[in-house]
Amino acid sequence: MGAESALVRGWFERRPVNRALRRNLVAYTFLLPWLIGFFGLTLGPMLASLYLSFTKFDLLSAPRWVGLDNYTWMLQDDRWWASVHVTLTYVLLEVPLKLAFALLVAVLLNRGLQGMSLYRAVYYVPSLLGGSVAVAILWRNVFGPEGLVNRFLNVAGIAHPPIWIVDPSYVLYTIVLLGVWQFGSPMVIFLAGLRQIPRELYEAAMMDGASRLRQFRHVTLPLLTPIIFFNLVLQLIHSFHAFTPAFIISNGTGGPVNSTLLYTLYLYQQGFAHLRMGHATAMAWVLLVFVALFTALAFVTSRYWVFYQDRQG
Amino acid sequence: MITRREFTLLMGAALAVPSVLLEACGGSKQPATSTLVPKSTAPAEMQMTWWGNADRAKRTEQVKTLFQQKNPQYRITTTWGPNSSYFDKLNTQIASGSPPDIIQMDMKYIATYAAKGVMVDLTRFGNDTLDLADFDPSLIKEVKTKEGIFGLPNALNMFALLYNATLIDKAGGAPPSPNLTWQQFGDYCRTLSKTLPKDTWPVDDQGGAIAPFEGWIHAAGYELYTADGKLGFPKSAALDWFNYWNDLRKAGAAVPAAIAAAAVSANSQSASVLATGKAAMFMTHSNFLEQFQPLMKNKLGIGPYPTGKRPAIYPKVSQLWCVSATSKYPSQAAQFLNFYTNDAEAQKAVGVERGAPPALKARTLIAPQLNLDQKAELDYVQQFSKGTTPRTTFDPSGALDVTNALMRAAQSIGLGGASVSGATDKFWSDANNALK
Repeated sequence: MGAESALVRGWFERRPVNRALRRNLVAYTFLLPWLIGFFGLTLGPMLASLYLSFTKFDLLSAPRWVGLDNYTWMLQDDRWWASVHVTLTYVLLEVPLKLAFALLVAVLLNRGLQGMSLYRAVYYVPSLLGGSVAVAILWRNVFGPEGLVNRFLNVAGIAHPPIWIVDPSYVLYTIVLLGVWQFGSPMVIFLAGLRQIPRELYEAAMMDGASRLRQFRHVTLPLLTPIIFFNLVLQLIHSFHAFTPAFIISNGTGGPVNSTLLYTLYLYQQGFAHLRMGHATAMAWVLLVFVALFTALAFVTSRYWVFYQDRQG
Repeated sequence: MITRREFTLLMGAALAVPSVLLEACGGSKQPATSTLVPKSTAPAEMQMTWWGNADRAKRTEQVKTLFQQKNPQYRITTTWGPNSSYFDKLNTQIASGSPPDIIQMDMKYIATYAAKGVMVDLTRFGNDTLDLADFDPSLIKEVKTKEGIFGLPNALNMFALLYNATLIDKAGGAPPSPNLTWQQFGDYCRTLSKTLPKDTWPVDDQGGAIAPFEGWIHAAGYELYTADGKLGFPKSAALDWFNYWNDLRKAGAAVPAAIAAAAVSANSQSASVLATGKAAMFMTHSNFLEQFQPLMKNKLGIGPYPTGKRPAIYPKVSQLWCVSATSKYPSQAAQFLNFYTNDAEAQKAVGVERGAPPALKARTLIAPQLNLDQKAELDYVQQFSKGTTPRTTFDPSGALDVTNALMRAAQSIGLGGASVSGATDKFWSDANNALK
């Protein structure tokens, strides 16, 4: 052991670069599991999928190079455009609604009521369950033909309410609602942000006679903008990847008539139902670009509305 | 409060690389050669997979146990699950080079898998391994191509109209006659709709269902697909079809589109409009009688689809058993197929759950043990297969797209407010694109 480590040390000490490496050896060793995971399970598959996006690949036989065909296919495919439309509608509704709702609940929970930690846990629960199949099935039953919602409407005197989960004009909104209901994780982050706002600012505002609403508008909101921005970016990305609710509620079809055809659902159909992995991987890369563009847009605009503590004045 | 530097750190930690980028890898498969596979009785560990419900699992497991008792040197491990995720899993296993040895397969996909060389040609086994002497010749005819036989039919079934006999009787109607044309069947539904109770309709809205559509096309003298994988029927046949269902719905003779769609999306037999009593009739396959009847108090009857120039029905391969081309034990796997088909005890265990037995002797052999529904299925298949024309072409690889396009077009009329001609145009272009 001693001789060996002396040998190793000697080898490292000979070159300056190696000396730097040795200095960080412990760090790299600790990072090793992550590095293996990153290169083996993330970067490798990503590069493979980039290659596959330029091929015709049906899983059963070897991929064949087709150049940009998979990318031009998207532009000509009605259902691809339908899926983009459905997804943008979903994202543009779900993200703002969810953030507004999460902020509202966080503000309410930030007041010192008794048993508050219990409330916080309770409000977080839907997020834990959120992505699960069970909740999507529950949702389908709640909005189904004899579901809770329609029974309630029946009692309220509406004899023939729409069947929300199969009506093309409503079904996407039930999925948006399911997304909004999972407001737990942005809520928790908002809560943490609210607790960081110094009390003296509120006290000063109160001295100046600011109402609660004004305090929220002129103290809470500006100081919370970095958190809002952070949640916005995370939820944008999250929202673009929504899959399970649409898959379960439409039984994997994206129907009726493409009304729940979220982008990832169509990607899945192309890849696994129709064995067109070339289409699927190309779609995945286009999605990556979409998400990157939206994130970039959020970052570019952020300089006009996000207020950082270290940049004041 | 948060500084820009903290924010950057937070953001960096939270942004994972998108997980939707799919990984897949595949190796090229050698097409099967036509040499005979010698019989081997060496010890073998095999894997087997199928889709289906718990009853099917119980029966299939029983065959496996019997097989292992007679051949103690063989071990089979089984996996089964619902149809919905079956092919995703199978395709992934094939792509990774480790598919199960014995695979339940659907006629819809067999041509695709055979063309890719993923399944063994079963004509490569000698009679001492896989004996097809007693096999229903009409089933062999349906699966045999000039390249060989890539899946062994495990049962015979047919398109069938299941009807709620009690409900129709109470409404003062006669059961649907087996000789009705599609037009007469429509009239029958219109008449029946007048006497059925509220919120009950004569027939499910099946304008988007591929099986009745295939029956409609077959009855009109066409096939869904040509031998070279194009659409085998004229656009007018599809237009007539969508009009037919639109008229029935408008007359209150078929289940309203929204209720039908909700039942389809629930994807379970107990939620279907037949089982919940919303529809008196439902077009499906014959072997579903024994699955639907236990879900209902009312008595179900079975009959053929309406006819046209020729019957809409014909003997159909229910499913197939395939042997994977990468199996290390192809001979032993084929011996299992032989046992499943020809062994008396095995056939008694499987019954008619997948459909009538493929071997002719087994049909008489198992008849005494069947319950009333199972007997009705077997009688139906034997009685109504006479005078029919079997289908001779396979579904091409884009067929699933065509199936989905049919459903979309039908729902766009019933739910989306599209015109019948507009929906037909869309279906026609979608279906043709899918088969390019």
